[in-house]
Amino acid sequence: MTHAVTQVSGPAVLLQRDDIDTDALFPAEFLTVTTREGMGQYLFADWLRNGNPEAALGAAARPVRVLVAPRNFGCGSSREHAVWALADYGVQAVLALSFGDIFRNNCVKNDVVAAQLTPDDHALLAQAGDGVVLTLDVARASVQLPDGRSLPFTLAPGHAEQLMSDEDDIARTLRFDDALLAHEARIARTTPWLLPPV
Amino acid sequence: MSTLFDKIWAAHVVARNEAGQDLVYIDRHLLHEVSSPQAFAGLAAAGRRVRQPGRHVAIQDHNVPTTADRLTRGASPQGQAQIALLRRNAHDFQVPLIDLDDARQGIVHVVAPEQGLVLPGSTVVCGDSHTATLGALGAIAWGIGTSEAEHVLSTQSLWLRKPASMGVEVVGALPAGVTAKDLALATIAQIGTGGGVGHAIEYFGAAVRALSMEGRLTLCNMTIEAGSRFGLVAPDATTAAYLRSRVQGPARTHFEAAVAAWQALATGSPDDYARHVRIDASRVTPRLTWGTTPADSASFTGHVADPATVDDAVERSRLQAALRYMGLTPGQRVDSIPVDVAFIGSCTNSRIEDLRSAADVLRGRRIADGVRALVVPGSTQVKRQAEAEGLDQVFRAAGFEWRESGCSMCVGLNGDQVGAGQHCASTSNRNFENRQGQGGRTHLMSPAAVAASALRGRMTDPREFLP
Repeated sequence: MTHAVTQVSGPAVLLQRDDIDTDALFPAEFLTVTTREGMGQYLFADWLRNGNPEAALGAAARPVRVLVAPRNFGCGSSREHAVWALADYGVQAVLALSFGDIFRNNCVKNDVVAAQLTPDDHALLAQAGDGVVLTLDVARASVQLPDGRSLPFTLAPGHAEQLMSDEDDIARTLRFDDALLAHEARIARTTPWLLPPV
Repeated sequence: MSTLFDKIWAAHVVARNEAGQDLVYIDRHLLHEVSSPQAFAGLAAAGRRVRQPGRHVAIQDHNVPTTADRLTRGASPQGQAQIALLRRNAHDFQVPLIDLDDARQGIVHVVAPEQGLVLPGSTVVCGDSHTATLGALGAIAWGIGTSEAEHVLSTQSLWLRKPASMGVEVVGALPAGVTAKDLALATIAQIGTGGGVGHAIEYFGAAVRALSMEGRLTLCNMTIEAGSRFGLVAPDATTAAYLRSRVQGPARTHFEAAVAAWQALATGSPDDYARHVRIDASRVTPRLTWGTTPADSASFTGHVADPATVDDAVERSRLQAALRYMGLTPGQRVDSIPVDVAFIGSCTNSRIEDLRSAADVLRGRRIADGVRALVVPGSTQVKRQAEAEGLDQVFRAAGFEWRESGCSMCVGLNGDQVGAGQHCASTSNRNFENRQGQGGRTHLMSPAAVAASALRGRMTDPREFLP
């Protein structure tokens, strides 16, 4: 994904429970897919079948652009499918008290903003309720409510730069090829047991 | 002063960017059929190659059938296609493959240590959150997403901000009949499902030193359930003894020099950790989970939580939903919960010592009527070893099915599933809703506890069956 993301704006949906895991976001049953596209149809599939009302995302607001969640959102499995499903569904940002670390990195790789809120600011957004239109500014690390109030959020280090860049991640890293080659030469000199088998 | 984690990290930093992220060199990358297809597709679409094919190993494990006829009959057409695709990608990109018919096949986190593919002081990644398992060997090992896997294939590196450190010190000694799994569940209950977020956890102290390598693998395995991607144990004589006969290639050639270098990796002092948590091993008892997060656990003599006693509204409603899903009543005794399915397997508890401890409980006994029980060894090598020791006969005689290796009922991808409303005593690592099958109710515990619970047909402390 290589689109520059500077702003996200749209209706938000509020999730109530802590520890929403990636198995809930994207049930294992669908993990036999071999592409990234069209995953939105599987978002919260088990919860929908179980009749869990929280899974009826956007009953109050469509298209859903922002999710607001409490603690440890996206914990559990490393499956990037959870983010592919959110993004395909239309979600461009998740605001939460905390995130699973792997999920958070998977978000930025797919141009989804994963922004951390303080408990006080989370409570303010929760009061605003389902369907409230939020506008996130990545460079300023702030989210604006319809009444003009602006709340700060925190992105993981490096994520703002990645979101706002349209350069391919791998191409950017390969600019460090000399340093990578030097490291590989250093392994051969100092820790030869870490060399790959030839 | 610096920690084990600091030292390994520093030795792998290739560059640093303005945002404070380090470009970390990756010594070893493990792949499996479920999280890798889109990574290889990305490489192919961009016309990129694998930078160092010899640093990657692909293993078929997540959706493989565990039935005896699995080489000729797949669990599903989609699963079979995914297995075939990994085979093709490994061939096209010249990545070494441990295929379904390979004598080394098994769960990636069981096979990698078994084959000497993980070394102390190294960095290891895999598109699987339980990669922290491998930190037991004194490596920095963590789970990554598919886009990160593509980045590693292409650049042999990842950009990361160094996490804060947390030392989990386990003092004293685990009582007889108490296992690494019980310690893991007790640790998660203490620090919480999000307690390790943003941290790398190092386990140390007398009780950790006393664990076998397999016990350490079990302990590190569940680090992600406390929110931390990284769990590790400093290398010592146990580590070197485990690896000596397993390492291959350059690691075999340079093994003694490596062992000498590993001694310098240990953390200087407990003051070096940003956070320090202490656990008294002598107070840990056999545990099981009753709820829908791995932190929802109790001793076998304990009770299910009562939401009415919880002040926090969010936590109260979470507990109410968990009890509803699990079909339990507030304050219910956990040893009154029935067992419908018993599962021994997964990257947490499917190694030879796990199978021996379950067999010790089952020997000469028969599981309760109506319980469906299966053992899925973590690797084909574990399976052969167990058969050589006659453990398969103990399990079969007790009423367990004896299967081929794979992830199986831990992730429920291959047709091995728990039915709606069924309670499963399971040695796996996640009790999330629907994890083992639609509506399935997972109770995490040790292999001996699963065996004891299968015998009684309700959740049972394994010490009741020990001499």
